[in-house]
Amino acid sequence: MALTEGNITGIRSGRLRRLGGALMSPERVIAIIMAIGLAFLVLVPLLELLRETLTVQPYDKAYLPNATEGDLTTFHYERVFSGRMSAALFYKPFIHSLITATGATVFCLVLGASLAWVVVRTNVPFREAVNTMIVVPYMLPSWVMALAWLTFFKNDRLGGSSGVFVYLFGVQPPDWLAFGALPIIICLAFHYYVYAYLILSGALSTVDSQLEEAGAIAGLSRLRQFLSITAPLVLPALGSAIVMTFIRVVGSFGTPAVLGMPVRYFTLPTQIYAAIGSRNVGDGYLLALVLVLMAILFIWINQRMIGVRKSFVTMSGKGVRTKTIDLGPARWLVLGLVVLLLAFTVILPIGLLLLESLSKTAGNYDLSNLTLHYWIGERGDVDAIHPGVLHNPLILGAAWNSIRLAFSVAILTGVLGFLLGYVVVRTRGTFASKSLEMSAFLPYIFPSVAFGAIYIGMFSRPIGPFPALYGTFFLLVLISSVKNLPYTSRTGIAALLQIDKSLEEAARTQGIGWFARVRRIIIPLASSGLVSGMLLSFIGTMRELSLIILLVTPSTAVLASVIYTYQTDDVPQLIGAATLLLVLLVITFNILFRLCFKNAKLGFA
Amino acid sequence: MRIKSAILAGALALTPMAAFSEETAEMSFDQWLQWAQLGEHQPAAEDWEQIIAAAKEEGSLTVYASSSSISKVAEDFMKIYPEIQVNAFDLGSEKTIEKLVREHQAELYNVDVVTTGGAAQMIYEMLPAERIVNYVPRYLEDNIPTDLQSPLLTQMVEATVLFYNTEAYPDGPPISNIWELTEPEWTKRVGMKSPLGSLTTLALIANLVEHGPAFEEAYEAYAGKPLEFSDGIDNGAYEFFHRLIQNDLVIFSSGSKLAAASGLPGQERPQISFSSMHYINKNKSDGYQNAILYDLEPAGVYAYSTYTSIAGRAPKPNAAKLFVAFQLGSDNLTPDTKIAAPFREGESLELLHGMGAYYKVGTFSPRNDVPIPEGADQWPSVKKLWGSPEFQRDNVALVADFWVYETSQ
Repeated sequence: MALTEGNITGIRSGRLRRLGGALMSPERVIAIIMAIGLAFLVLVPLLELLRETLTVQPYDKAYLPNATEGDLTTFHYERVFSGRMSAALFYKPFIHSLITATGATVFCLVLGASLAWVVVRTNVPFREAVNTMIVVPYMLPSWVMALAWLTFFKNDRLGGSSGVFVYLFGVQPPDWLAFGALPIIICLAFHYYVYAYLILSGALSTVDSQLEEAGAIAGLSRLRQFLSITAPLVLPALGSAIVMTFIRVVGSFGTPAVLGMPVRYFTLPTQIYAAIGSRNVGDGYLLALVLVLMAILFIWINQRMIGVRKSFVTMSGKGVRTKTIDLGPARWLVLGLVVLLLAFTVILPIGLLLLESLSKTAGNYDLSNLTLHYWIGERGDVDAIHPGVLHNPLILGAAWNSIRLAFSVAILTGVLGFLLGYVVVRTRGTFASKSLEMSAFLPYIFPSVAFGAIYIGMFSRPIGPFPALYGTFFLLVLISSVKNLPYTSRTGIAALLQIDKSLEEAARTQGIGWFARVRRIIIPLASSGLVSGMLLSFIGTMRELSLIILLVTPSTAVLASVIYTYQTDDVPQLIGAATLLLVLLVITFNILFRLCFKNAKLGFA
Repeated sequence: MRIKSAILAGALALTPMAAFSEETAEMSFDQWLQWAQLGEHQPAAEDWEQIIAAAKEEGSLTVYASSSSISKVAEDFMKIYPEIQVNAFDLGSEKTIEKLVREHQAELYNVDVVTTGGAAQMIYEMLPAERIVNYVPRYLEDNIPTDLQSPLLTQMVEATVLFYNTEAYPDGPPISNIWELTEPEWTKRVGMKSPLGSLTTLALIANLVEHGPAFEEAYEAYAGKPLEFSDGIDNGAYEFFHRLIQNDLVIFSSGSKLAAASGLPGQERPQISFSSMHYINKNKSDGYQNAILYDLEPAGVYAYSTYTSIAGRAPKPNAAKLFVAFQLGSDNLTPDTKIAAPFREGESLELLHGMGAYYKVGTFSPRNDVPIPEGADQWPSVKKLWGSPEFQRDNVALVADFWVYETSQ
């Protein structure tokens, strides 16, 4: 049977009886270790966050003059959820967040799903190139897209130079087009559709098109084939895509800050940032907890949905064949549309960064103003203070650190994500499985700055056999891995859900041990999904700043922190050059990853 | 263990020598003060040769700072004292304090010098909690105004000012009273950085609120009648911001964009921006046309301090003292000293020391015995509004709430 509905609990209890409980099953052992680890690395910080919302903070002095710092209080809860300030602090931003996040998620899914289908299932020209290009927007820092938008649609509200729109049409674009909900939704979608694309293309490529052919033979129309065969098969992935996209979008700060603030369109993350930035951590963490709760709610709904429908296994022992659909001449039209999209999401932002990095004085795009100084120049002629990136030991050192960090994190999250996915899927339906899945996902929404701050306290002294990690490179790897674990754990779960348990059981009846089974059967089958998750965590780590800024030392400075320095220093040319360097590195490693992965797959097959 | 106690004993014998954070953690705060010769134990006459020798012995120090220029200061310090390695962290004001507090809570004493703004937190949270101590090199005591060295030493004075575009207004300032900005003429044409997430801007508003009566007087001078407050407002500056927000104030997320918004040439109706004064230097580097509204009622210059201090239980107190002294500039400066650019090299650096990285309009030394950078001749005499740290401490939360409430209407 190609389609198997896994009644996992039953199988598990049966097997346990067979084993007679003499040995603990490997998934049990892994589950216990994982649970302890996650409890310490994720739940302790979460409780710490909760505790801070319930205690008096130094900032509250103005309202609570007689309270002592650290006393228990519900002050923040009353302030944020009822009373005069609540509409401004919570309800309005919350509604704005819901609007922008929902809009962006829908947009992301439409974009991501269409692109996934085009790349996986059609004979669109230059498929491989398109496949590589599509993920590039995600490698750019998210504020770049917002800046590109402003460059185009800026009106006189912000003063300074006019946007391209004014130049082309001679009229000022209205505020609703330049700022606020609509541009936020579009810019977020152009950045985050990559999640939906990666997850759905991973799932689509494992759906055997013979299943659809079977449907065709049975007389189903194309639409019916899609609705009753393809769609249910990719449903777990679709659920994942929705959860990943929505929660990421609802927690994003940069884009709403750039495009919302000029018209006072505030969202939850901008309020959180504002509160924490004023050291008003009581309010800030409480608002952050709202996001955490939303994430939990979403996962719970996702689990229910997939739980009700069960999951379908698409990887059985038989060969998978993915038939490409011939689009005929229309394939060039499709390519044209994809290129148009990429022009907006890739070429425009990168072009802007490039232009910025080539200007002598920022913001002047005159030909005479071009210089290569910020790439290859020595300190001196053009800029007496800053040498170009290739002569800048600070940037080069930071780039090397970023690569080391991101690579270590990708490997570690890959391993952890796989193990987690395995455990969660094999024990699916149990409470342990659900709570593991949930806690592995929580870091996704956890405010990064708070994470870093709490880790200082946790790792500044030895814990049992482990030495104090604060100040070490390993702590950076650890915290980044925890923060990026959601990528690989989601993709790990999604990938393992598609693998039929019978494959493993067949191997076991032949007396093949657990390690060999995992290495020779599960890993090769799950690797496609896992690698896309590892790639996400690689990229995420390369760009991450607020998470680790409290934990880095000058010798462990990373590219993102150097870019941050140039931002406060206001050297847009170096921001452009260093950001491009980052993008270049990510793309290079992306290609290397893919090459390695292909080889690995061939070796296993 | 024996070595540690030997070091501790040596330390308590008042011999300044190198120690590590574990050792300073084992001392009580008072023992540390005594060992480091700080606070009440700071000698009436400091022996700088001895401090420099001990600092070289210590060999390194760690600085947390809110400004990115700290890396330049660190670089310059190592040009003069190559034996001492400076680990400078540019963290921004909020994270500087966060990192300091978290490390101290975990009894980690790594940091030696803390340089940041945020008067209320530095003076009323960090200082009493013994997370920092005030240190003023003795030889500077007579040359810095009392309120700029006590309770905490000001490393530099900065200011928020209003910029207007001289190309669009060649005949001089378009306004002379700040209340004009609440008129229809300036609808959508006043820019300001969001105070939420920027402690400096928050402190700016608190500063103006503290001077509410001056705003009321300025209104009366402008409108010829007393100011009428809106509902729930009882302060001239609050009323000013209320009307400014009603007049569609444009809120920016980044400070540098503000200078461009008002100063970029070729604009028909450029805005007036509340901006950090030092962005005036972009006129030269980026061709902006900004000028400062010095003559404004009630005042056009809102000054504030960036502080520098030695961290509580700093493991390298001598290097820390030397660094603080370096930040404030050399002893050989007089008001008439001629300084030639570039400021961070050769003789200029010998004279300016750590001031070299800040020697420009908008980032001023608190010392009154040093030359004033070119283009800031008005600075000493111009009318400045200062906010008090105490008022800030008691009102920052109220100001933030006021802002959140008003901007969401």
